[in-house]
Amino acid sequence: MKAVLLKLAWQSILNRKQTAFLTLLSIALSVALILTVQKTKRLVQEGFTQSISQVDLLVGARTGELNLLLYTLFNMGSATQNISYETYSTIKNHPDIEWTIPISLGDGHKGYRVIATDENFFEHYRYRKEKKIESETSGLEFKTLFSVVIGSEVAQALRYTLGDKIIVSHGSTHEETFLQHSEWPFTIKAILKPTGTFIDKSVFVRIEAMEIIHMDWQSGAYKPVDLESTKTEAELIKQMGSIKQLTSFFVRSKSRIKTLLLQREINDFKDEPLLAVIPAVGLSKLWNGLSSIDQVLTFISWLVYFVGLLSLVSLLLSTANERRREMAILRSIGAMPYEIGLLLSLESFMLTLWGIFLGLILSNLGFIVLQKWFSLKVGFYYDTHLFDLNDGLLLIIMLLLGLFSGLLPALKIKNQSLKDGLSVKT
Amino acid sequence: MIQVRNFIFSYPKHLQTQIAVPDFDLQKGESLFVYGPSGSGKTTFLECLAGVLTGYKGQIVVLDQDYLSLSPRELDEFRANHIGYIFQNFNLIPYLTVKQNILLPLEFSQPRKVFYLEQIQKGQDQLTQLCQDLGIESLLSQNVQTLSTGQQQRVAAARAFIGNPSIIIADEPTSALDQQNRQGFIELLFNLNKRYQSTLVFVSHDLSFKNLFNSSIQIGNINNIDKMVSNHSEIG
Repeated sequence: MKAVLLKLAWQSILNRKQTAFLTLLSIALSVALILTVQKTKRLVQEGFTQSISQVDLLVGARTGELNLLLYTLFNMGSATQNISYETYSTIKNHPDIEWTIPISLGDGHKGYRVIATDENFFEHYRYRKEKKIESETSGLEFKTLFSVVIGSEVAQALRYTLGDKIIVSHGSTHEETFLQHSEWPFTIKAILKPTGTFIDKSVFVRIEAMEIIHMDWQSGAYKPVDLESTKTEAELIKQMGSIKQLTSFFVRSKSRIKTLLLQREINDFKDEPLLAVIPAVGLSKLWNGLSSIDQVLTFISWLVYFVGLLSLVSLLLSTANERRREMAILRSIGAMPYEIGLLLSLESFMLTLWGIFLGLILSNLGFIVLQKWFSLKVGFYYDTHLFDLNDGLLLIIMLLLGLFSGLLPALKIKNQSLKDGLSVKT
Repeated sequence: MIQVRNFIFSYPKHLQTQIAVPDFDLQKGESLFVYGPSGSGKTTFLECLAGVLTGYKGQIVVLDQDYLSLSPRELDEFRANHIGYIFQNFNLIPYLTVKQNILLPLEFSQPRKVFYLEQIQKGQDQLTQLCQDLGIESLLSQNVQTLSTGQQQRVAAARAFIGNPSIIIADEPTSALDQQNRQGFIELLFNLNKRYQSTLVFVSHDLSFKNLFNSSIQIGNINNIDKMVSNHSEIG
């Protein structure tokens, strides 16, 4: 190929700056749309599947599978019913179970959810396959009754440091309420490293402490219990008696084979209606439910891309007639017909290439904004890498499509030029 | 340099209109005047002579190459290397500057580029020389759309001669010009032809230039020959 063709294609595009730019923009926007849809899809999928691992079963009061997953893991919706601690204790001691993590929900702190649990959570919970929850500060102290461990985002947003005292508000995991457990301040004992999961937006307290601060609320309304603040922790626990109830709990079975049997056993539990869900199965069901939306979005974004390509084709076709003279001049200089076709193909290739490049920039800029919104709204895991191998493949497909659609006007103009020879009556 | 024998061309769709060209021989440095009324097939003959159009009967031999023995690709290459072509009007690529337009043929022909570069090594810039001869030095960096028709034709002449092709074909290059500019343009063409020792084929329906050329031929539509001859005085 002669280098002059590249120069000619470039100059020709520059000569039609406005229309070329509009075409470029329509390609860029559609590319940005496709990439953003793909990236959002990836983000949601990873958010779902990587938030929890090593947990074989999630057990809660009988409700819908998705409901249980959503309110336990993603703070969406709320539990309709609790389960009794007695039931938990019974199942916990099942010979096939390796460990359990109790979860008690319902309270919040300045818009962040309070999760009441025990030290097993920090010991056993894993996210992104193998990752363990780690403390940003020295150690992960969760032993004292009114200690609180906060997620990285909570610490950052509310500017908390170790030793700060915080108050838990009653009854809402999403917003501040008037009902504050102000007589029971908690002391921040550890701040967690960022995980990219719901953990970052959570406030962890001990399950016994949760029970104690609710002693005044046993009938649903505030009814102060006679307490002396000078009481020791041991005395408080004694007054509290035993923990009454839980929202849900995680189960790790001794072997994966036992999981299904265990699930059936829990679902058939006589004393209380329970539901055991395998998180991976539930999450993939959840994902499948959403994937039709993703398919529609993908379809629409490709349609938009085709509209972009159509505007490219129409740009080139619309100039076909006025460029006949130009092609005759090139032929008189010795340009071969295939070089005429190549010139036109190069023009569409350049426009597509820049369109894709601009689209890539746009989608990444847009995504930085979207990511922030997404992580604020939902506690999904999100990855920070902006480019994926699949994106590369998509871009190549888009480039090939651009090249292919540019062939039509290129062939037309080439054939026209071959027919015209040197005599064009304009 | 150029030999044409028994040339007859008929359009595939209009077999009754046949274009006939008398046999002729043209030597290096000579000039040929080709005339005939509008629609007589002058441009068609030039397209054959330039190797763009094939399918004629007879023989065209240029620089000892019989066109019939060349493939379309080889014909394109031959044209790039050996022929400079000047159109009646709209000679220039609108999105290139004057200079880019003039130098464009060099990008399509290695021999012409080599010639041009060798000249520069000898201290002779053909571009400057041509532009001085044609009086367009001041226009080099201009957008071609700002030029007058006369200026455009002179730029086209510079482009035809750049890299010193053996043959210059001019298809009614003066018909878009006014009377004053016509004479001047033809003189410029003759001067350049003399300087670069090229062979000039000049087409016009304006017989007043005929005597300036070494030889002349008339092209006609075979079936309309009588009519054409009778119209001759009007055309002249």
